[in-house]
Amino acid sequence: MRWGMVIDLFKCTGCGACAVACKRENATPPGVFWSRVHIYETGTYPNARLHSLPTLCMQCDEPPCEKACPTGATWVRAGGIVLVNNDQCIGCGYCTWACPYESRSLNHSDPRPYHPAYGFNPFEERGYISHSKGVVEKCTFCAPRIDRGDQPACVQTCPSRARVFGDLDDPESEVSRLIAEHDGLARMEEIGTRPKVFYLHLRERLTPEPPHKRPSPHKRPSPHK
Amino acid sequence: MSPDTTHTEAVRGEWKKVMCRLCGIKVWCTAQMYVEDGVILKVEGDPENPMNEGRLCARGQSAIMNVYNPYRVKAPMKRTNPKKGLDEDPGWVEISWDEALDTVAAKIRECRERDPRRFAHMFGFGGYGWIVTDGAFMPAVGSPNELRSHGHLCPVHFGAGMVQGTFLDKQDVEYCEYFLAVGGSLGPNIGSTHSMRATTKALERGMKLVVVDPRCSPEATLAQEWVPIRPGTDLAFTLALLHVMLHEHKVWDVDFLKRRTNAVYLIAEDGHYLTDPATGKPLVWDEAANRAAPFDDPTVRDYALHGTYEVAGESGDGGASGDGGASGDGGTSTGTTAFDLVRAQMLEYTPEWAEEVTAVSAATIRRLAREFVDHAHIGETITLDGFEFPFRPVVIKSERGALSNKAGAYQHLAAKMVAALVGALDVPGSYLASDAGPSLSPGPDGVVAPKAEAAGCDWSFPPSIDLKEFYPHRHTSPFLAWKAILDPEKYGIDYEIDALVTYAANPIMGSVNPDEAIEAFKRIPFIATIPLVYDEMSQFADILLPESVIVERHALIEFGHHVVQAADEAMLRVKGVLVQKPVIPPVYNTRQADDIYIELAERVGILHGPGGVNDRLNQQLDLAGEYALDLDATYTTPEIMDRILRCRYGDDHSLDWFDDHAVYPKMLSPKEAYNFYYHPWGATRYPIYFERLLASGERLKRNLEEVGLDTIPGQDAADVWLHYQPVPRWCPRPDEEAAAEFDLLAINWSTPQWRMSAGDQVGNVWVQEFVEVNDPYEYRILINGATAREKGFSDGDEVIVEAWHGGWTRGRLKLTELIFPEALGFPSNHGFKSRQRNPITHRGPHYNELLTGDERAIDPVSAGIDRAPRVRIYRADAPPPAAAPPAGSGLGAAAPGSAASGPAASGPAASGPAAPGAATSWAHQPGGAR
Repeated sequence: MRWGMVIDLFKCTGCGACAVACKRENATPPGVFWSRVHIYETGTYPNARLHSLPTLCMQCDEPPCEKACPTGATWVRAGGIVLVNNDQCIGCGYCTWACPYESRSLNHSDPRPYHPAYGFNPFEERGYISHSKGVVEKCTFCAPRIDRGDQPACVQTCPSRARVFGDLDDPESEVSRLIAEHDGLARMEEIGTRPKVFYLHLRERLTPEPPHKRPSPHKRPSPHK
Repeated sequence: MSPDTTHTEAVRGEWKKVMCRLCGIKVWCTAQMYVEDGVILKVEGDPENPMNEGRLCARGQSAIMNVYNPYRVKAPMKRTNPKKGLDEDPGWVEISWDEALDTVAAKIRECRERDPRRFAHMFGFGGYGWIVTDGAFMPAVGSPNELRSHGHLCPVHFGAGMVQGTFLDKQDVEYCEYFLAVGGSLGPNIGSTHSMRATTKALERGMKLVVVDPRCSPEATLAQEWVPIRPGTDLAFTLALLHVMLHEHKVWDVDFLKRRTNAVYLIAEDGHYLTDPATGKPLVWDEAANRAAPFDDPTVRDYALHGTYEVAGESGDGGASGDGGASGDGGTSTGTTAFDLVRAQMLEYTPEWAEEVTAVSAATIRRLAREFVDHAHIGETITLDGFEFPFRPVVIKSERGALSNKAGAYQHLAAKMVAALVGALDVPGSYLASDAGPSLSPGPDGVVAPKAEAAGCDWSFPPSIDLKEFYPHRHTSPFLAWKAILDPEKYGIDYEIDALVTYAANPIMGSVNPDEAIEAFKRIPFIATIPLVYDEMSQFADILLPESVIVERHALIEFGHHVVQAADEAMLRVKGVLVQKPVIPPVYNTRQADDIYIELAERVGILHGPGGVNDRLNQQLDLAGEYALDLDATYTTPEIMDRILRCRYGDDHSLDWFDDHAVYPKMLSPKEAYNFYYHPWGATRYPIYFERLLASGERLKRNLEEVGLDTIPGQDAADVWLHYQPVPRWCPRPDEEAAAEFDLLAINWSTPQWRMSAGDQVGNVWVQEFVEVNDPYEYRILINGATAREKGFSDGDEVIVEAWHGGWTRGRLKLTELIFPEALGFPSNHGFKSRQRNPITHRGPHYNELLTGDERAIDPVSAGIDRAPRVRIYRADAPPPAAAPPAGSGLGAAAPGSAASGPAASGPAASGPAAPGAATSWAHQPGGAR
């Protein structure tokens, strides 16, 4: 069992539902994002295009963060999910430097409320407990949700179904099939991190060429007679 | 340890179903919330809902912060500082609900005793749903002055009502093969959960999407083709498509035009239908029999699509509209087919002409017109549930970006004509009426009877305070109310407004001419508002009656017809009802709007008896028999909801059923989703020649003449009647006379995170933070890189943007390649101005300041606002260049640098409390995601 995610960049429209769902699910305090959507452009008018690139922890099979961690706080759970043990984390921040995907953040202070003048609201009071000062945090693939059979919050909510989650070890799983059929790519594969988050149409989103070359549509049989 | 930072789900918590409603209207998502000890800890989409299928957008996911928003109004308040203004501290003092309601009720009673028209009510998109406010309260008061703050920036109803007999239109992307989006989003632009699904699904299937837009939007990126167009010229593009189709490509759906449109009707020289003297029915020419016949004569063998014919003894009295028309006097009349007249009108709109106007190359226009026709599968059919439909899988969608224009009504009609020429209306794959059902029922002339805005409002004089009688096809016109309040005599109004109650309306931010709105509000002696937060309207209110947020209240909304974007099969088939019960008690001392209106009605003395609110609700909601409200009883909102539900959906779907559900969907069969099914061949005809528009203009002209007016006050007569012609035509833009320095065109668009300001989403910290951290365009003013360099501007420069009519705003430039070189782009609408608001809402430019509701600038038919005004920019820290004064006429805000109210005199943020960037910011702080 290796949990993995596929993000189809021809379905992502940059709405941000994933990033806000992550914030809500994990109650991340102000300034902390486990899930982001980078919005940017490529090309020159009129051949320019607006892009969105969702990012999260790439859940590497060879995680540089784990190697950089001096205390063993970063560890790999069953299913290949990279986690941080708050009790062992000393806040040195080496892992944040080691991660080539900038997916980790070090809490320099205890969580602050979104509206400092009004204090913590009831949601924040309950949700910020584990986001304490001096630890590093990051995406967990929503491990608690997976354990009870749900999908990660970002996958569950994606309105355009750009995200798919499943077992990379199972060649019949949708993630495996999508990666195989659509030439799924991981970011910076060349540095040997072996991420478990794969993107479809990544090249088109990163090059200045307008994405005219669409995948050959698997057209269904014509419904008319 | 596994860093389970999520809340532990103790057994005491429970999941509850709710509506979402955080986008305003037309998106029918429901959610489920996990509540523990009265605190909402989780929100997810509701898997029971066929619309959102368990998904939620960024707004819906942020609902928790909407509830626990400390900037909400937390109790009823009264003002102690009589000075009203955006920068004034109203000196709010908390009062009891009794005192607040009694104060407001007394003012309404005073108005009713003197003259009910002196009471006005205003309502907008900011609310969560309503029962009592819509159509029951004001009729019971007896005042016609029901204002709406929304809608005029998006005049989408006239064309839909005129051609397809519905309130809106939608697009079938379940079958569509070629989608031409002209100034309208398929859904991604506004973050609609289900339209995003439908759109990406269709693209994956291979639907070809072409986006004609001055800006490369998210869906333009996903499209096969982005066609940049000069802002405000979509009509020229569409007319040129018609030219190519009618004069060059010459392929159209002959059968459809002959049997399903009024293209074959004979038109007299006065522009009206030639009619049969015996029946009054419009005449067609039977080519086989070489004779004229009523349009529905079953013996007609072949309708003439072309030609001019001499018809003996025809009355030509104006057809079913009954207006004007040639007087035949028993002699002969000449009639030309409507189709020939349409063709003749389009002759001049060559692609070469359009290229000059739109900057879209003539070759591109020709190619797109041909592609559209070639993908239409003319002559093919598709069978659904054993019912055979024409199969026309092409859509030309024209919406807000193209319709918010001085000739926006024509643009809407022209886009429908493009679809009609290939028969792509209300059949699988095409441009559909928003309401599945018998919307295409014809009038006496055999043509789809106009509905809603296209039907027009009745004439009365003096007019209502928003002048709707002068603009009978308008959707809303609050900006005209401000003019009428400030100068009632000009419009023949012989009274003043003494009291105003507003709900979910914020015209200072969401409409045009905010300075005029402010002056009008200062003129009204008493204003009460039902706010969620201390918004701009609250700064002018005397009493605040705070509303609960959606999860603290009841709500009921029937849906199934307000889908305005791309729709897949599930969306096309679903109808039903959304119901909301409170999942937590109100966090603050607030009530829901319906309860407030019931309380007010009781205290005013208009709740009970014939003509009271209960009576009006019975009529409006069709509550009869055991479900009818007792006219003399006082009901709570949930009691009324329960009756509505049991009356419409049966006793097994009473309010109790919704303890565990938020949606009761009723699925249509596939064929029932297409209105062709209800009105098949022979049952109706679409207009492609708009005789009704001509007749409506003539009716308006006569009405005006009867009260001694030769035109709509403030309008040039010739200009008005130019827009009431039966065939769309190019019209001069309102700012053509503006000085040459106004060399850019300002546009804006909805962004996926914000829409219609419902629930104070602009002040939602999660959404705001997401945008600030991830989106480099929001809050900025987008300018094409080459244009900026030519003008000497760099990324991040702070500039004043000044419109030709004097309105202005300020903001920081963002250089981009994503926008037409002459356009200046504003994502969404920012720069909120109430000093008591959440300061994060103050940042960014206020685009709507650049628009004007001056009569000469609006569409005389739809009263739509032109949303591509000519503007100029200059550095905020430099004096404005010595230029000719704006060609405007003292409308809206004073010109920057002129007189006392411009930025030079009173500081850059004269009209707002916070300069851009001054608001607190949490982004980019240490410890944030790197």
